[in-house]
Formats: sequence, structure tokens, C-alpha cells
Amino acid sequence: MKFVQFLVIFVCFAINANAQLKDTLNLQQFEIIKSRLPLNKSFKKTVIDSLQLRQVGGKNLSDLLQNYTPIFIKSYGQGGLATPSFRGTGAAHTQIYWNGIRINNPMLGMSDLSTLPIFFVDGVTLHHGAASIIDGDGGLGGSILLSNSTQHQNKLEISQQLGSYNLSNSSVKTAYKWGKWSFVSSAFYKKATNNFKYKNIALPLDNIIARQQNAALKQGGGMQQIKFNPNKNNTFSLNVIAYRSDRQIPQLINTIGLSTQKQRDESLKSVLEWGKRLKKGNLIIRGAYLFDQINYVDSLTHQYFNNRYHGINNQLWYSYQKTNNWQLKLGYTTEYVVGKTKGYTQNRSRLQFSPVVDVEKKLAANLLGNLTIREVISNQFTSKPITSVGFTFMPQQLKGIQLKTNFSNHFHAPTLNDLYWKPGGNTNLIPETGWNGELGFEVNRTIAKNQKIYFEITAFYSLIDNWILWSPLSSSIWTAQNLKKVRNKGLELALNYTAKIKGYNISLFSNYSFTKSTNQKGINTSDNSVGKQLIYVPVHNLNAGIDVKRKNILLSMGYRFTSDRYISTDNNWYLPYNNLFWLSGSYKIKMYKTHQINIAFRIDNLFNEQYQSIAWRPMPGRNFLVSLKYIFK
Amino acid sequence: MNSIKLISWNLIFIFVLSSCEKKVGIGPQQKQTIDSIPTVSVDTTKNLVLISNEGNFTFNNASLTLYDKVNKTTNNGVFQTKNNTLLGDVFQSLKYINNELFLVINNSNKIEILDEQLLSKGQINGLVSPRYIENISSGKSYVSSFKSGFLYEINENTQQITTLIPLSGWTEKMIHFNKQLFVANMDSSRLFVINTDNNLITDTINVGKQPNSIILDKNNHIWVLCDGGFKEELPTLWEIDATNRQIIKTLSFSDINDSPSRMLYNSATDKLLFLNAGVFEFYISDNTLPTDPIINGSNHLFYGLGLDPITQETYVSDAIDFVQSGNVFRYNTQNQLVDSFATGIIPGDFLFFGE
Repeated sequence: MKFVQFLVIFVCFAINANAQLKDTLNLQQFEIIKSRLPLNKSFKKTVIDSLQLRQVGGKNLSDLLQNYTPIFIKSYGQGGLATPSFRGTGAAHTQIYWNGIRINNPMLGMSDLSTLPIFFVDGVTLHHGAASIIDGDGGLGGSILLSNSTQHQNKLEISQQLGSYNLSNSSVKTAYKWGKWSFVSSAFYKKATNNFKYKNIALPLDNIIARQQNAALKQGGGMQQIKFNPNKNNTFSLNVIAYRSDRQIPQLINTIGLSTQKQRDESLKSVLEWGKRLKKGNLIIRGAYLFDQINYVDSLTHQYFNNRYHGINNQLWYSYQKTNNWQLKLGYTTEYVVGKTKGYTQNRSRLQFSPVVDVEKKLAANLLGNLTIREVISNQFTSKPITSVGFTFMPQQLKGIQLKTNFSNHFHAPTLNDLYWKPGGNTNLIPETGWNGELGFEVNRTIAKNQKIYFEITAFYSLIDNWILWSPLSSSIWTAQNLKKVRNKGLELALNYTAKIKGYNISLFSNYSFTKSTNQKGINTSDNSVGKQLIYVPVHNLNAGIDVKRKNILLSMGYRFTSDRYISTDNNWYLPYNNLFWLSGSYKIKMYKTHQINIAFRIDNLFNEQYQSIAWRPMPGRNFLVSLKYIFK
Repeated sequence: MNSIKLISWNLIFIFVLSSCEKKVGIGPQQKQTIDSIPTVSVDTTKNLVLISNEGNFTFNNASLTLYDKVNKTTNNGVFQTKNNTLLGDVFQSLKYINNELFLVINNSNKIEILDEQLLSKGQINGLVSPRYIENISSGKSYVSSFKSGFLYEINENTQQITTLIPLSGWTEKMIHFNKQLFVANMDSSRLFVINTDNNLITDTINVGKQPNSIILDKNNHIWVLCDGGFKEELPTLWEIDATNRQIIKTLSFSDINDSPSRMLYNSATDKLLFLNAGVFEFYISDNTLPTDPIINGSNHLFYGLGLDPITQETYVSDAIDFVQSGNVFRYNTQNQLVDSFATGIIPGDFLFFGE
């Protein structure tokens, strides 16, 4: 029903947009909202544009991905743990990179998206499936690339956001250029009590409205970027971010008694990079140091856990392009991590070397071929090389149309916890292996003056074997084993339409994914989960949105639909589907040429839908956010 | 101005259309009930077996299964059907005390009390991660705990906690004898001996790693089964004299990969029964541990064990993958399969009316 409503509204907007053609309005020159153009390769990529990044404001990376990309996010609640899932794969099968450096926690294998401060990120790109091979190993589902932009002009930005549930987010950003040096510093402090109201369905009377308790969040951090351009052929840059999150972990809604659990996440990420333009090609050398610490406390039961890791990552990249004929990319990465926790009997480390070769060549007038080979050498496991072969067919007569395909094999190494956690860690684990095939069709055209359309459909099929699962060997001992075999097949659709009509900039986007992710191997003869959909993988995941901009006003609205998700492996229990709408707007005031004030608002869950993303963890109803930003250039 | 008018009309449109909504459930829904049999009445309680289904940790899907031995019918989710509310999270154990049923719901921090019709008579709240309950006399029972570090003394008649006894670590199963309560402590490889008159610790007995089961036999000997931790020590079986607390004998299992659990006592035949992948039996007069199971566990994940005190039949539960609904297999005294049925998620503990 809600979907129909949305279609009606969208049509109304479209009709209105056309009506404006008759008006003669005084137009102002301003930038067209950037449409998402993929690179000319056989892979599937999604780029989130800077406007969408700014709109999300006080939210976090998981909100951004949920509203603007086809990947599915599992969320434990407002401010709680949030993990991504590409094409039905697990959270550890998504690799996250920050300025080229892998930031997944090597002990857990995954990264909590809710603690990654989006304020420090200028760009987000998704590499689906085999597209992640160039970034590193382990991205059986894909990879998420977070980056900081390299161009800045002198600027000061101060921003304050206030929102529902006592949310307050203050941030400041300064950019300063002095000769060949440029500096960007930013800091933020965010807090919220997250005491939203929800319907407590665990209690007998079904009209009990309760308030979420013990879910407060406090987060703060800073970033420093220094760039030095001694000449046009060399760039040096240093990028350091440090942040801390203090979170209270709420109780399940059925459990009586206040939760006394708290968690503190502390993180330091630093990368030093040298980019050099050679006579032939470009060279990048990177060195990074990472530190992450999680402290968990339960004051009632006096439980205390401290898990931390140090990481050193060095990279060497060389890329060369020979006009439009072929391009070459060579890379070499060294990663060393040490994990410390009382769950291990001693500190555990991993050392890994990984060279990669990526070649793209024009094979015929209409045909591009791509080959990527990555080898991983580690002290902890033996692996086969990761290979991907792809083709892109671009008929010259049909401009902007592409047909692409790729085939790859991949693997994901066991995490430090899978190998070494006491009890249950298993040093005999082998890496999880995957095979993937994709076929895509893409249209990228200008259909009229100032109207562009981008449409892409990708069909994928992949098999993952030896998927590591913690399972009991006998009744009381749980251990990590290479147990599962999963088949993922489905479709991803992306649509993007931009138009500039009589002073109105309109941008429409939509993402849809259809995922059938099924268990192929039973644990024993009684296992009823064979052939059934994996838990927490929705079959349908859809989002859509529209931006309308005129002069200094921007109005946006969007919609997100997630189908039923099973929560038991025999598909007997499920969480019902969600329909969520959001609305946002902003107004820009320019004063005295160099000063600017932006006022913005955002309403999430517009129709106050009661829903859960993880069983028994309520999600907030309608919530508001207003923000005020002052920019001085 | 024109544009703003159009935009606002569109917004009004949204709100108007949103008034017609379809009602969808919130939270976990069940696709189909496992059985399609109407609720079994509790009049002939002698025929009935109750099975606790733990449910998945933090999923709040613990449930109670009712099985009729005579008619071989199953009724799953019977607590929810009778009381119109969910049971809670992680149903660890159940006990029958003075015509009342005590259901220990570990991660909901409570004990649910039911009458013989399986209707709720109240709860005991405020218990932190309770595991097992042991009744000494009317109004005096003890509840062990996983992470509170306390042993609870409760009055099961008034449904109140009487006192908290500080022990350390994870306390599990208990037996009592002669005004003494023997409590197994899982993380310190020992039994606490508590004087039930004054709740003071009078003694500790060192046994093997992780004493997960404890029973009292007809000779007033205590038997303790230790699983040896996660491949840390060889599992062991201990025989202790309850009167003088002296260790009579210790038997060691041969394989460090063994993990025996769920030891039960068959008072009619003087046999101990336990799980170790398969089902094994051991006469209390034996001096060597059994090598072959009486019921083979390969192709199953045997999790719980029950013994019918009247018919001497053995019930074993299979948790499969610990996420989906489990199965229970019923064997006669010749160890032949008599029946099998599906239950809730992770069936663990059994209760036979009349025990």
C-alpha cells in the first residue's frame, strides 16, 4: 500500500516538474547534482554522492547505506551495533577500507558501522562482488571504500544539530591553505539518550507503550589532514583520525530489569601517503598505523572485557594508462596485526603479504577485457590466488550502453577469534572459498537537454564453501568449524535520473536487490535448514528517493522497503517487512559573499512505523533532526 | 512560490493516503505451528511429559512442549497458548515442587510458576541468570546462578527471594542430603557444601573441571560428572560419600575430546545414564566406564536426556544446529526407537509427572 502511495507522489512530482517548463523564472547558475557514473569496467560499483552524504547529518554510515545503496544493514537499534551484508553474505565478508587501508577488526572480522564517524568521510564508494579484489582479499560480498577528498579551499564550518531523543551533534571543520601546504582539521561531539517510545510486544497487554532505557550514546573525535605539494609531480599527505564512543547497551524488551552493560570503543587510524607522478604512470606509497580497543563492562555481574588490536599496513601502488588502449595497476600490501584479549592464551598476530596485478585492455573495437590476479601469502593459512576475469561490451552505435560480465574466485581468511579464542578456537580452520559470476547491463545516456538517465541491472550467482560457523561439536562445546555451504543468487538494479529544468534541479534514484541466499549443506540428517533462506537476509530490499533543488532550497524525500527476514534457520520464524519514509530539506542563506548559513531539517520514519531490525530490539518511531551550519570561505 | 505550493500539496497528499494502512505484526512471527493438534488437557497428568525448549539466546523464543506418552501427541508452545504471553529467553530447567511447576528462565532473570493446568501463578523476579532449582522443604528452595556470583535462597510459596548467599562464579546443579546442600561450581572445579539451616559454607570438595551433573544414589553416595572443560582435562566421574564427604572413587574417561553431560540416576536399576555424543549407561557398582553407547549419537546432536521413572524409557533430544526447532527421540527399555517428535528450539530438560 505504501509503495503505491509513493509511486503516486513521485508521479505528482514528475508532473509538476514538467509544468514548470511554461514558467519563465530567473535562473541562477549552480551545480547540477552529480549523477552516479561507474568506471568503465566489468564490475558493479555504487558511488554515493557528496550531497547525499551531507544530508544524513547526525546519523551514521549505516543510515547512509540503508537509504542510498542496495546493501542490507542489520541494526541492533538506535546507536547500537550495525553490520553490512552484500548479496546475502555475512558481515565479515564485507571489507571496509579507509583511504585504501583495511579497517575491519581482525579479531572479529567485521566493522561496526555505527561507530564510524561519517563526519570524517568525504566520499563513499561500494565495490560489489569481484570488484573488491583490487582493494584486498576477503571481500566475498564486496567492499566499502571511505575516502577523504584531496581538494580543499580555505574554509571554516561550524555546525550544530539537535534531534529527537536528546540528540546533540556539534562539529567544526577548518581548511587552510598556506603556500604548498594545506591543512584540514575537524572535530565533533555527539550525544543522545535514545530513549525513544516503542510498543512493547513482549508484555501481555498489547497497547503498552514503553520507553527505551539504557541506550545512551556519547561520541567524540578529531581528524587532522596535512597535505604538502612541493611540485606538480609529488604529493605528501598525512591523515589521522581518533575517536571514542561510549555506549550503553539496552536490555531486550522482554527482560525485566535494567541493563547495566556498557561499551567503550576507541580508535586511532593514521595513514601517511606519498603520491608521485612518473614519466610513465603514477606511484603511491602508503604507511598506516591502526589501533582499536573495545571495553565492555557489566557492572551487575562484574564482567569486564578488553579486546584490542594494533595494525601496521604498508602499500605500494603503480598505475599506468596507455591512452585508451590498456591500463595497468600493480599493488603490493603488507599487513601486520596483533590482537590482545583475555580470550586468547597469548597475544595473537597475523602477517600477510599480498601482490596484485590488474590489467584492462581493449580487445576489439567494442570489447574491453579485464584481468585481476591477487596472491595472499600469510603465516596462518595457505590460500589459492584470487582471480577475476571480466569483459565489457560497448557497442559503438549505441552510445552509453554496456553489457558486462565477470567471473571470479575468492577467499576469506578465518578471523583471529575463529582461530585462537579459548574455548572453541580452531587452528585447523581453512579459509572460506567463493566463486562468483555476474552479468550486467547498463545504460548511461543523456536523453534530452539537461536530462540524464542511468540504469543498471546486474545478475549474480555465487557459491561460498567452508563458511565458518560456531557450532557445537557435542552438547556443550562450541567451536569454529568450516561447516556451511551457501548459494547466493539474485539481481541488483540501480536507477538514477537527473534533470535540470527551468531552474529546478531534480534527481531521482532507486536501488533494488533481490537475493536468494540458501543453505546447501545440512549438519545432520534431521537438519531442516537445507534449501532455506539464510537468517536475516531479506529477499527484497528496495530504496528510492527524490531531490528537488531550486535556487537555495532543497527538498528531498525517500522510501525504504525491506521484505520479511527469517530469524530461524528452518524459516519457521520471521520478522515482518518494513516500510520506512524519510523527508528532508535545507535552505542556504548567502551573506556578504564569503559567509553562508545552511538550515536543514530531516524527519526519519515519517509515518511512525513500529518495527524491528533484529528480533526483540525495538527501533525508534518518527524522529526529527534540525541543523544549523555556518560556513565562512 | 508556485513551487512551494505544489510541494506542500504533494505533502498533504502523502498524509491523506497514509491514513489507509494495513496492519502488520511487530517483532518475530511464526510461520506455522509445528503441530496442528488442539491443546491437550492436563487431567491425566501421569501420561504427560514436559520438555523445556531453551530458545535462542536473546531471541526471547523459549517455549514449553507437552507430550502425551499414551496417545503420542505433541503440543508445542503450550505456555503461550495457555497464558497468552511469551515465556521468555533461555528456558534452562524445570522442576515440580508441591503440585506446582517451576520454570527457570535463565536470560529473563525469572522463575515462572505454573499450576497443574499450566496456568501461570506468578513469577519470582530479581534473580540474575538463574539456572537450576532445588527444594529442601516447604518454603525453602535454592536457585543457582550463571553470572551473579550468588546462590539464592527462595521461598517458593510466597514467591520471594529470602536471601542471597555469596559464592563465587557459576553455580549449576545441586542435590541435598541431611540438611546439607551440595552445589556444583563450574569455574572452580569443586562442590560447595552449604548448611541449609544457616546458609553457611561448611566445606568444599575438589572434583574435576566443570562438574556439570550431580546425583545422589540409594546408598547416599554423591556422583559427580565433570566434562573436563574444552579439551583441557580428561573428563571424570566421581563417587563421594555424602555422610563423611570422602571421595570413594574417581574414574577417568580416555579421550580428551569427550564431553559427557546430563547424568541421570535410575533408582530402579541402580544405573547412571549420561550423554557423550551417544547415550551411555553405567552401573553404580561398575569399576570401569562404558565404551559403547546404548543409543548411538552419530548423525545427531544429542543435547538433553530424560528418564521416565515409571516406564524406564529414555528420551533424548537433538538440537540439530541450535538455531532451528529440535527433535526428541523416545526409546523403550530395549533401546528401540518408539517415537520421535519435533519440539521447540533447543530442547534440553525433561519433566515426568510423578517424579
